[in-house]
Amino acid sequence: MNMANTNINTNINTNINTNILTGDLKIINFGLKSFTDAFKGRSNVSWAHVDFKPPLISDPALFKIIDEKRELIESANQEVVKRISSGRPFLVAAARAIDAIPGMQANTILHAGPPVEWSKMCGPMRGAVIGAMLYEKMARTPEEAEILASKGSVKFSPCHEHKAVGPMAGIISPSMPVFIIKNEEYGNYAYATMNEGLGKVLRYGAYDESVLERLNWMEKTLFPVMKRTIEAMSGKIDLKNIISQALHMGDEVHNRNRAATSLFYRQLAPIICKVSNAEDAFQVLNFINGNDHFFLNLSMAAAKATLDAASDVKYSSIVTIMARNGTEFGIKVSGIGSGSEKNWFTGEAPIPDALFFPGYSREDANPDIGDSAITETLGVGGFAMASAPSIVQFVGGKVADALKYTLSMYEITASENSAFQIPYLNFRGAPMGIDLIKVIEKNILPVINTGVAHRLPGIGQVGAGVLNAPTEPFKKAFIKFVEVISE
Amino acid sequence: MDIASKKNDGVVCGFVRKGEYYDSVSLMIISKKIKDREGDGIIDSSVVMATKDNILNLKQAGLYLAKFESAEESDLVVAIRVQEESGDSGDSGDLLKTIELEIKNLNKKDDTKNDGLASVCGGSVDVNLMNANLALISVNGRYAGDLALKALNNNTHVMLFSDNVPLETEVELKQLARKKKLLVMGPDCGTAIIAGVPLAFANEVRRGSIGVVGASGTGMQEVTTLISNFGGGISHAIGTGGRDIKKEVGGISFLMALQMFKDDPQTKVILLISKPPHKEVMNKIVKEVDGAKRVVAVFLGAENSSSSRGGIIFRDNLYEGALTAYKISCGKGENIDEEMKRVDDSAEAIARGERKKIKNNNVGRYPKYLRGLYSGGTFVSEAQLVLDFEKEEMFSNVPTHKSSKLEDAKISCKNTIVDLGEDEFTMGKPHPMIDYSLRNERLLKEILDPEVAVIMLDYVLGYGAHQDPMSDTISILKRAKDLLAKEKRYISILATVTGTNKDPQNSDLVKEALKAAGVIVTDSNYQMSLIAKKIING
Repeated sequence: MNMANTNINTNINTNINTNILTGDLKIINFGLKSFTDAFKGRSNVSWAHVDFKPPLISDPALFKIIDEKRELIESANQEVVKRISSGRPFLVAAARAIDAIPGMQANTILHAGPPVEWSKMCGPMRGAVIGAMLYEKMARTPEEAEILASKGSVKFSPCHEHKAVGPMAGIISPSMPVFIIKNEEYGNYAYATMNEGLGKVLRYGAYDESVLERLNWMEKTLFPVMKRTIEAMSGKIDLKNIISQALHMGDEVHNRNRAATSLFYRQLAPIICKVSNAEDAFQVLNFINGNDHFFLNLSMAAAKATLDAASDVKYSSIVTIMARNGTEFGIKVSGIGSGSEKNWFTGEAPIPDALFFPGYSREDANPDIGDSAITETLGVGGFAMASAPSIVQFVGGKVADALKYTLSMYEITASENSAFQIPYLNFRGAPMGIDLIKVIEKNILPVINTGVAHRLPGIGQVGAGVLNAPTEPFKKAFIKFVEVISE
Repeated sequence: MDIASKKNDGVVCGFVRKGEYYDSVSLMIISKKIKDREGDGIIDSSVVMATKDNILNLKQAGLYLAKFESAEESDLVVAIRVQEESGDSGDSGDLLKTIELEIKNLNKKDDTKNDGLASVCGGSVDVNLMNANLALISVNGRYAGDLALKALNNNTHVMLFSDNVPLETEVELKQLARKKKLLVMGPDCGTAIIAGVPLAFANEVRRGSIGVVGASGTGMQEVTTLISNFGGGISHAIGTGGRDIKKEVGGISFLMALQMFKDDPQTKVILLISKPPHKEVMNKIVKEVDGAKRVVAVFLGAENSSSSRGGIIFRDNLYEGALTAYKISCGKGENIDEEMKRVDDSAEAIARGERKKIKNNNVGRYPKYLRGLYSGGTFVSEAQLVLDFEKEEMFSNVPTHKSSKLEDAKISCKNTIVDLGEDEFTMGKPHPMIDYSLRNERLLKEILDPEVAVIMLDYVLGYGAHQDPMSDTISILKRAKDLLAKEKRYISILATVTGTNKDPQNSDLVKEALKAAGVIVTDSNYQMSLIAKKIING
């Protein structure tokens, strides 16, 4: 503090700090922005304005407990951000879901977000479940699939509870091929399906012939080629490195994966050609080339592998999962047993205020859906929006907005990730480690870049946008967090 | 968007926007925008954050809808009553959509250009930011105390514009501040000028050798602009908030400010402005004055104030206080008898002319009452003291010992001095210093009262206040004059303009515009009140 009050004087009536009368004024303005109008064009004033919002929870008793444990929380959070920043996710193998994903059984279907039963599932998720059941030959017709699903013959479970993640509906069924990602630093694994591309796809709830045909092709052609390629590369595909480079190339690896997909393609293409016959190599390369989002599932799984290593650190207020199932939005917090199957904190999933494709409107939009918010949880996606100015228009904003999204996220994160740099911010590290306490205190909710699904199954993506996480899961988690740390 | 709850006239409709917090100025802008849509059949409206109090107010105003039930404090609630039009709800649905869109746009308008050192969004931000030495706090009173505490702990002086900060919090903050040798201006401190920089509602005044300590916002605006317009100057004007001089707070900030001015080499004369301090506080103030610097005090409403005690020169009203301090500052002594005689004479001359006009232009009628429609709280007290009518003859929603309490602040009675900035008028609506629509409505209502002879209006300029004060004023004044002409009546319309020609609104332009609209413009509230009194007393 650059202030002249170093003289300690016990007489209270003298030596009042007169720095504001004699020196320059440095004003911090909380509240009415118009008060700063008077400061403009004056040489003896500098100022900063703060748009004040009341905290999400203002009960002083809760904050008193937080303050008492502040040191424990700080050091736990330091441990968590150390684990996140030192994570080293590699693509090490490909396998069938049932052979790789822990806890997966023949009648298991994994889905995005927190737990949800069939009766509460949204349209796109139901459609995707039906599609998966047809693909698995669990049912012969969509009608039969619905009946079976409603009778409980399918075991539904969140991807996140099986170390997996899935975009949009996030459906993973036993026969689907999955990428296996290993966090080389901590030895833990994460799983994700291979991305199907845009248009009529399972993850948006489509299940017609073309969708099933593609899933079959992925199983018969894409999967073996990928498997052999990764093996031939000795499982040394460094996803963190690709993400770091892609952030310098205009991606935020959630809504834009064009650079990351290209980098991935470049690394794999020669090996694919080497381990496959010409026709298969052509088909696979052509498929990846035609899908800018091919890398999305990998960036998500990389985030998952990184964040899982930061689970279950006692006293840590860092969020390790944000995920949506199209009905509810759920989070988990490291210090509230985030490694366990339980401990979700949920609230209603918001409908994105998005930019809609021609012919569609907000009325068509499904509430927010998908595990892809794991990218924001890692500190990329919406958090690294300043890296991806080319898609801000797509999500209805200006470049300045992109910058603002990222800057505001520094307010609620515990640290910065030096591996994920943002060129426009002089290569400052992306905001990392969402701190539940800061979210509550500052009333700033994480921003999430998202695609918008039609609320009816099978229609697909109808828009894209940026949205804020809902307040409810954070409020519930905060109250629980205070309870847990006071035990 | 549903239409619900039929009341006596019109239909009430509205909506809730979840988790959208707006500060009071944004709410004002929104409600102004809604008011501007009068042509769409809006009868009444309210735009508020859904606090318990506000919900209660909505219920009382008949603007409550069942769907507000689930709204929380951090939600925005908009309610409007619209004229019922052939049972077709489509129109009001569209109207609500338009309003919602305007709110959204308002949200977006926040541009990112960095005009300060930093622009940070969101919550309980680090007050350590940029090593600030003054925190200017105008957030909701419930959160203001916390922010102020953080600022003090960070060795930062505080100006608390926010009101509704509990008295205990004020005492705690000020005790801590005193220990840390820091200043807390406020809570409810509307005005300060530090080193020429206007803070909150304040004016562009000359710099000079007069230091002002004030527990009254409008009072400080009045004396600082008067001194500046006389040709004098202000070193600093330090506000304390109205409660500082009460027993509980013990004048902590008032005394510290006085001390600061005693130590400040630039300050030669000290001018104190407030309501009468508690006697313990008064004794401390008197003790503090050591004669090294001249101290002039205006304790509005104090008994036998025109005297000297312990080296303090007491004056009755803001004008006399400002004039005395100015004269001393340029070495012309403290005697103001001559100047005050001239003010009185000129007031008498104007009053004589007005009395004649009233008499000649209201044939067969005998209008005899005045109506003061004020936006500045301190002026309301000062006017009542200057007018000095019988207690049964003068009414106010904020009565002094000279007047009686209005039964309903919205309905005038005999001579009425009303403070339109009081809570009963401003709940969910903009303050009358920012938005004149409430006063304009009231003005047209008073004009219709055949017993009214004099209208008094205050136009407070400067930062924070209405940036284009004449935009809606002139047409309203013209309407008033037209109405009167039609009824073959005359009412004296008096106005005082508080400001300088360096203010963003330029007081010279405002005065000219008012004069052109047939208003008698005075330089101070004291002069206006004096003229009004002379007109009424005959």
